[in-house]
Amino acid sequence: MTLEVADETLEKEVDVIGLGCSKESFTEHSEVTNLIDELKISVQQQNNPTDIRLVEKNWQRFSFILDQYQEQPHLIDSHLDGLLTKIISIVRDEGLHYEVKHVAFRCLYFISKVRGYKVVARHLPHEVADLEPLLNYLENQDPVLQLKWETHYGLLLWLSIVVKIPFHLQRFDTNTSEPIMERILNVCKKYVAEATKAQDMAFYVSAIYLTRPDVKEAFLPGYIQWAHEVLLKENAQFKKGVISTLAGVFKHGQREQMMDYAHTVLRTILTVKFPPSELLIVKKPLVKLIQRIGLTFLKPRIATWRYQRGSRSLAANLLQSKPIENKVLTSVNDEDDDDYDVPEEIEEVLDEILQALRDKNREVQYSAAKGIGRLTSRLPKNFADQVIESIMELFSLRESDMAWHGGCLALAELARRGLLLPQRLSSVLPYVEQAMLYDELRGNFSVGSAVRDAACYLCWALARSYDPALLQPFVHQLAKALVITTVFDREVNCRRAAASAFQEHVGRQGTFPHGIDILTTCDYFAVGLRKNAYLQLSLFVAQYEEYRPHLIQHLVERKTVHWDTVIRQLTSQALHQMTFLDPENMKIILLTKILPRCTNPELYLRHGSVLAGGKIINALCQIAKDKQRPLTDELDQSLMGAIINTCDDILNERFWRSFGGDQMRIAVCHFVQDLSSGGFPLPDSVVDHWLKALRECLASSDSNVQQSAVSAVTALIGQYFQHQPVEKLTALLNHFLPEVTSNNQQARVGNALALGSMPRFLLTVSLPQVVKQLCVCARITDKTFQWAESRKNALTALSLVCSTVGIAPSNFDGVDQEMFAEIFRTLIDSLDDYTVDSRGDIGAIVRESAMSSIQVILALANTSYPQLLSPDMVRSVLHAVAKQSTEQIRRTRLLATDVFSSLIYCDPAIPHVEQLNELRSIIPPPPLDISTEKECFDLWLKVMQLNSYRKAVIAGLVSSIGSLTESLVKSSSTPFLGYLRQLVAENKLDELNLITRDILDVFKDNLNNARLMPYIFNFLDHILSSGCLDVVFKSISLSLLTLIRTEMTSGSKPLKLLISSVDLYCHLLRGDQITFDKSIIHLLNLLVNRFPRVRKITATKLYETLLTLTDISSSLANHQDEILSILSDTDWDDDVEALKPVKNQLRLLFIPSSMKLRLRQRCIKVWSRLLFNRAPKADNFWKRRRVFKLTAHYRGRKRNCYSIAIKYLHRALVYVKKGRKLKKKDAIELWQQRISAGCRELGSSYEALVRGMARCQIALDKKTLANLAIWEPRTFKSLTQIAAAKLRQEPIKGLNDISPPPPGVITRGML
Amino acid sequence: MVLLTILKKLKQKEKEMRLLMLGLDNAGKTTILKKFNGEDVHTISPTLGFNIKTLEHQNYQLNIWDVGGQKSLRSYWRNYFESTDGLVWVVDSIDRRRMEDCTKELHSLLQEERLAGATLLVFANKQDLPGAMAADEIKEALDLESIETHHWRIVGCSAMNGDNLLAGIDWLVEDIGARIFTLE
Repeated sequence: MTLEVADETLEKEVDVIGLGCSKESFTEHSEVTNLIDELKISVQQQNNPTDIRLVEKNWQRFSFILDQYQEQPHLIDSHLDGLLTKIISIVRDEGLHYEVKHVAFRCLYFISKVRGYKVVARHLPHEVADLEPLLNYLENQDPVLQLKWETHYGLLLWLSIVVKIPFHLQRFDTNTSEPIMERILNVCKKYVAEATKAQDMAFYVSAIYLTRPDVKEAFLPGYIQWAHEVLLKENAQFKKGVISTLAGVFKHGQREQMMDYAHTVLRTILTVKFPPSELLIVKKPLVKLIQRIGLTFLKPRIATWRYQRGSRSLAANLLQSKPIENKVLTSVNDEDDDDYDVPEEIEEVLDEILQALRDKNREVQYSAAKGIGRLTSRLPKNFADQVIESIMELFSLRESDMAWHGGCLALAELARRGLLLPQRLSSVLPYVEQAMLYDELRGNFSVGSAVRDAACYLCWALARSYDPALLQPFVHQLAKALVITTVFDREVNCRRAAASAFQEHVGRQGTFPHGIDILTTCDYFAVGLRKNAYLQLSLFVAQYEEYRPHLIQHLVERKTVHWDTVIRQLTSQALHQMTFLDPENMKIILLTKILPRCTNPELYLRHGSVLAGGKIINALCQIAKDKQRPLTDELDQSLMGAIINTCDDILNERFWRSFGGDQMRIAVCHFVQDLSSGGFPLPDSVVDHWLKALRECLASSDSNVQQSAVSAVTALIGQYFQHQPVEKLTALLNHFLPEVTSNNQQARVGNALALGSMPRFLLTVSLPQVVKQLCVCARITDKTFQWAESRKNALTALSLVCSTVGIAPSNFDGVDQEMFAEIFRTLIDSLDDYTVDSRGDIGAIVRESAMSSIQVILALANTSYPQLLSPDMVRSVLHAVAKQSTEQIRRTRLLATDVFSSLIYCDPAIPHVEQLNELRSIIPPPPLDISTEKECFDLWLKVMQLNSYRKAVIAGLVSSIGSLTESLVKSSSTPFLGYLRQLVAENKLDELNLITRDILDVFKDNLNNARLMPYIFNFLDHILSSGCLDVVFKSISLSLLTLIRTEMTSGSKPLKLLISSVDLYCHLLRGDQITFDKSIIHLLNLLVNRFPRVRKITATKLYETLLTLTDISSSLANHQDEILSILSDTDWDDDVEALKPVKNQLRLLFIPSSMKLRLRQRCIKVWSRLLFNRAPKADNFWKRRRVFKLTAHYRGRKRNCYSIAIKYLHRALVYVKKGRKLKKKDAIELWQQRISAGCRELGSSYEALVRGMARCQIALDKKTLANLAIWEPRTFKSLTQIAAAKLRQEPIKGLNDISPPPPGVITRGML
Repeated sequence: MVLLTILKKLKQKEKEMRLLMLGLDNAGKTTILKKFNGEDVHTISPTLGFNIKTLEHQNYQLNIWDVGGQKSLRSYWRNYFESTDGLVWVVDSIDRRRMEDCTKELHSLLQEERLAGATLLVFANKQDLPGAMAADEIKEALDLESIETHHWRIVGCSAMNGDNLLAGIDWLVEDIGARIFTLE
């Protein structure tokens, strides 16, 4: 069940109430009018391509404006006529298309949605002249066309007012067509069947129409007959429409006249059996109809016997000169009560409606409840009493929660109408109390929150309806129940409902004990948080004697067994607090109720009781401590004995192994913790027993169990081992130490953490051992490389141990230099933990833990013994953390930034920090407030400008700029590229060179690092394509190429890396000549790679690069066209062997074979020196002309602006290529269609023709056949006949002979 | 939630309004309410707790909440079912000494989010006693002109003999009615 979701929606809704009434008038009036016009025009121009976004935007705006007025629709009233006139004028305009009118109707629907259709109908024109066109329009529409439902809705809405014209409809009949009366009826029947919103309107119109005096006489009996047939045959939606129509008829029709039909209709609907699937749709209108029929049988009258509270008119009271006694006036005139008969059918009607109160649908229930209210007010007193009697029967344990809910609603309805007589209150209230606590378990969720909510509503209704004196006897009962629900209900809506019902009672009745104090504290907002309600509010209420016992009793009886674990936990905490208020009572409860239940086989009961028991004992211990008395004096012998017995019993095996074992373990851990921290005197046997059990919990696979076990173990050892001899402590420690490096991951996880949180006296027994074991646990080995959790906990434990024992080399007890170095090495190494498993980068938690630990340990060492810190250590830490600060994961980044900041602002300052002052000027002191990614990267980019940290930051940036997440790439690369551009603009080439050198260094350091290499490649591609490094590119291109080549040639590389390397090689083509030649060689090799995908991508990329390359050597420029055509025309999916000649050809074109590479390089060097030290520039003109030739027919800048033209040209060429294949496919499809059409015209089929012809050896292709079918029908006919004749001789299964042409086909005939 | 919708509907149908009667102590709130209710106004002691009365006026059902001298019983201002539609602020016209307190309280009250949109009616009570400040004078003192977030009006009245009470409440009901309910 979606209880949580329901809570949220509730809160949203509540907040809307009251704030929606903020509008003063309909200010957007003119804008709405304009919008209608614009929408109309946009539809009219549908032939031209109108901007579809604009239309959509206009609709959005239109509905937004109107929706604002949902809460105060009457503000529209003054402009309603104007708007409607505008819409109607569009509808009436003969010249407009139906599509345009549909827009008008859609606007009409929006308006009527806000203002209510009844009001809108009153403002629509109701002239006789409209009737005929309206009917025609409706008849022309197709009700099945659901897309046009707004049109239908609008038309029917209009019809509903027009059919009210006060003339006899026969007067409008013309001789030519059907009588108007029947036409209207038929239209109504037609639309009633449809499952759109228009159906609502259809049955509204039908009801109004059928209750016209002239129509009623002529058609109503017939209609009822028809309805009967529909109910027997048609689908559920149709039935719903018909039933709703009848309900409307009984509502609008005059009672006396409807009496004649009431009986028949009732018989009909009671006899028809609806299948359960249909009931869901039909039930609500059905209940309505039955109720209306019931009302028809009864004369409208105000029940004389009903309960009334004194005079309430303000004006009348003011005018009265002297005060009157405000006395309860229950008029008791029974004499005329039974003087009228109740028709027998009423029994049946009531029976049906009472059944409907049990329905699953709340709307049906509410409808039924209202029906009961209406009917009862017309019944005589005795009869009404029976009705109430039968409502009370709903409150039985055999009934479902729905029945209880319906019962509450019905009683509330009766109470509001004064039909629930005060005498009845005493029998009703016990049920109210029960309903308030109703909670029924269904599997692992529970139903009943709706019942409790409804019960609160009933209480609220009671408070409003009755005089204080009448409710006085029940005050205690009500107050108790309401307060309990207010503070202890699971659902927020129930708590709030109870709180406001309580408030209503206090205000109106004024008799609730301590009412004002309680409701001031437990108000609507305070009860919103469950934890607050349980722990704060309950404590407040419990200070009053009247409520405390009930609260405690409720908690113990109902809430310790609650199905929700969270509630049981809260309950135990609440009981803990209440123990301080009433210890004596609690002791009795503990002994008699809670302790015996701790060994109950029922899981919830046992779990809740163990939790509660622990908390209560803890509280009792504290009380004893406060009084400074030994606990044994405070608690008597029997209780102590019972507690110690329970301590043993709860460890019983069968409770651990069975269902819910994990939950029980957590509960027992809490129990142990509570008793230990309370200092409860335990025998040694129990302690040992517990310790064994807890060690088992530490190795549990459930992290919650581990967590609670860790706290329990710490508390237990802290309390009971403090003054034990060293031997015993060593033995104890030896239980834990081997587990930290066990072969079970979970054992490592739990024990590492437990070891970390041990008290000092235990750790100092064998500190070097502890540190060693933890360091071993934190190291990655082949066997344990996936165990990130255990490493994380080990690191955290290390920092905890350090802070517990302190860093003091001189002291015997503290961490000495050797250990410190060991710990430090472990931590620094852990910062390189990039373990990946199915959950992703789980190494992140290890790195985070390492950073936090480093922060703690550095700070400790710095204060206690700064000599331990060497410059190398500090540098490596800062560099590693700086690197983490710019990496991929946001959480890690923020944590790293935080750690970095606290390291540089450490007090006293950590020695050996490089460029400390610059750092402090950049990074603000902790706590940092960095909300966006951009802020973070901006900050670190400034750090990057410091010499000592540049490389570290770049190493981090590589992985975030090179990552795949687009938002991250954007936010990290923008500041970086911005900085590079700034350097270029200011011509700071030195800086730029330093950066490029560091980038290459990072590359070099990580050669053959499979994890990082894709990031580096992506990063380089990103940076190079941004063009920021163009200035220095030539100088680094060769070294970059060398690095890439080293990387790509060592071992086999994944496909992804191959593809990224293509990009990089293409970038390198822009470098100097040597790089160009070398890169070309690599690219050509990739063209014959064994993966076809790599070959294709290489070809495409190379093509693109060559097209856009600006300065190429003259020899290449000559061959460029040829190279490009080879690249684009070769099918790179071909076999590699076939492609090798192509590659060689390309190679010749790129590098003339006559020259050896070395020689050629030398030549070029000479040449370049001759040609003013630069390579001759190719003629841009020719390259561009070639492109412009192809874009000559484009429009705008696409034609003449090269950089734009080339983009569009590329795209166009891609389409051309795709089109070449598509065109063939399309043509074949077309021919086939034509042939098969021709065949079908002649009664044959495509299949028969083709197969017949094939057997006759007639080799005509599809194109020819299609031409023949069109232009040479006789030839085609004889072909089909030949084929048919052949098939007759050698029949093929499934292919018929020529059959006569299908009837009704109009053909051109033979030419 | 179904129940919330039910209650919303009921409110529209039965035309219920919720008025909150506030003011400093001894301003005469309970007297006014008793007068409305047609009860004896001569024996009134300071309100402990509060009163809710349901009255009918101009076809509306008014739930009037008279919250006693307690400084903040904020829980009444809004709960599960209803929000406050109107605010009746009662001023003791002869207590010039505490007029400043009164102004401060009123303005801080109007800041309250839970009272957003509520109409404000100020009753300058005890006009029948000699030395009472006139309504206009009180308007100045309370700085009513500066209020822009709420509709407001000030009416001088006397709870003891009932002068002007009806006029004030008429205006209040009409203003709220125009805001919240559909006029049919």
